[in-house]
Amino acid sequence: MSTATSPALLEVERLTVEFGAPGAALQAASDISFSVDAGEVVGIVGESGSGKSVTALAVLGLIDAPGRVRAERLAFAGRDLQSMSERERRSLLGGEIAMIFQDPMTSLNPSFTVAFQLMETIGLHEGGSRSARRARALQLLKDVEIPDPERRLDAFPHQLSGGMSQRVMLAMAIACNPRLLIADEPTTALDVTVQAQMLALLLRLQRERGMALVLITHDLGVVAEVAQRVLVMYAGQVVESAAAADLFARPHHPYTEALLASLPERNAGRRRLASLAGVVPGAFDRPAGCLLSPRCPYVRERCREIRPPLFDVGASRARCYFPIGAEARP
Amino acid sequence: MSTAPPIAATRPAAPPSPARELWRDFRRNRGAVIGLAVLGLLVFCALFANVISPYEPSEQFRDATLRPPSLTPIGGHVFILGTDPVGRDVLSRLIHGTRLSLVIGLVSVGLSLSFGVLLGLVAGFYRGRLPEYVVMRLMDVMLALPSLLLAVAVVAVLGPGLANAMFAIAIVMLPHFVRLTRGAVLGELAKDYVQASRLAGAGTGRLMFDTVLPNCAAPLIVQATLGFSSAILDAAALGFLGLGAQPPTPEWGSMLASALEFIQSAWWVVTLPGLAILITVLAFNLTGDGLRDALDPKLKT
Repeated sequence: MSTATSPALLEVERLTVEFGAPGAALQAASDISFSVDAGEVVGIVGESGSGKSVTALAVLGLIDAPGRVRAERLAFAGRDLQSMSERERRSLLGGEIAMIFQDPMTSLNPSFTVAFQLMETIGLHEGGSRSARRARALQLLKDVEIPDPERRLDAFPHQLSGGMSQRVMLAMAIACNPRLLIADEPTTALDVTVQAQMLALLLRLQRERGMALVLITHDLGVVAEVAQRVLVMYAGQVVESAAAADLFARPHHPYTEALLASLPERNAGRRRLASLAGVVPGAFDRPAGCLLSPRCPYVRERCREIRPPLFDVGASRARCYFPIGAEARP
Repeated sequence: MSTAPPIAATRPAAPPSPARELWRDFRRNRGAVIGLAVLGLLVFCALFANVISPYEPSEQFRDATLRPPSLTPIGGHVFILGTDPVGRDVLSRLIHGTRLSLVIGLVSVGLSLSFGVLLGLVAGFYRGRLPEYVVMRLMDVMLALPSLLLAVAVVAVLGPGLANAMFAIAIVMLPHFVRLTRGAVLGELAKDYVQASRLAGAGTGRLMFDTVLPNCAAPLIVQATLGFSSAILDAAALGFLGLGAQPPTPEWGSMLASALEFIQSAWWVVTLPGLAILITVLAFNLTGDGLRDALDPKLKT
């Protein structure tokens, strides 16, 4: 099998995740398309409930009934994830994709020691003797820069701080040398000082190991620093996707613009931070047209009537009829 | 300028092992320690009943019926806790009754716990789907019936006897274990480590028994300890109604029943088995409470 251009590591096309009865279902994520190349850092930003985590879980096949996942294409390294059996999918994902979660306090199994959990993961994918696995577990703890790793090996999760738990989780994630790491708000629950360390560590490991990294966050500053491409999500939709530099220099979607305008750094000297009036529409009061239309400062008649698709705007894509800094779309 | 005293480069003490931590927390509760000590005594009695009881439990001394507790020998025999209407030594019967009661507790709780955990895991993992509805509605029906009535009904179907009584008690306790397990499972399933485990390739069976179940152990241990006492109580009730252990088995409930008509004239034949039941149940409850305090992190300070 030879293709002219190697496929992206992760391809997601028109992914929709629904909860609730058919007909009256809530779309937690709708019509999401993106791809991640090998070794690339992609940021997904959006406020709480915008569908960031649900998108990641759907890609990994972790959405349970009654949730429903539909996608035109969902592929990892060219292999279609939807058509393969549950078993195949598990063995593929377990080794090649890893994920770390937001809350470090619940992301380790409280019943077992750090060593046990690390060795279990290592054993699942590599095997090896007990002592070899233990040595590897210790090496992993060193890789994630845990102080006094020998002692931490036999600690239980409740004896670790949040930052240490997060590092252990990261160690478990990289234990089987994944090609893609999905980090779901990896720094949200940590102190600001620890956040910076954690982020630096994440990036170092990403570079050293050539992993692709999908960074889910609501911290635009983090994304600006580390991501090559950014997806901005609003109410379950991707509203803009662009190269990170472009996004911050020339936002095309009004929501992105408002998000950037609300950053404290861009509000220096003002008494109040800029903000959009109104709130994100709930499950059952979504407008017929553009989901941002009730809050958008540039709203026109067409925005209220028909929901816009993603348009190409230069090198970026934006879900807006009237993208900022570009001509109106038909 | 004085230099600060050098800080000794000692490692902080290793955190205590989980078992030691449990014992430390358990020991704080004096009632629980007393309960545990009594339990130890009861287990000793049960294990060595043949050695420590003065007579055989069904040995009849025809010339010494309904003797009150006393240390004076009667016909060369001492009956410390008196004799019953057919001249059997009450102390010996109580000691052998301990064995029965503990076995009843062990078997019924064991049965109930294993099936309850299994059903609870299934109900928790298949939440919102058919298995959960079937299991939980069945448990609701069982909970709607008064527990003793249900036990009596089961024994009525199966026929009286100790084995059937234990089975009936296991059935009566089943819904409690199922609901408790399901609740704990649902709580654990919401946590990220379960997702992480699934992502690492764990199947449903592995998730159930290796990942989630160990974290549900604390409430189950507590419930099992408390279940012991209710099993013993129910077994005594069934024995008293003539549906459990059959005479001459020295079961405390049936001892009560067979001596009921002498309650006015011979207090010891009724009071002592009653006391034995009370003390045993109390010991289990105290221990269970202590375990709950020690195991439940929400109550820890």
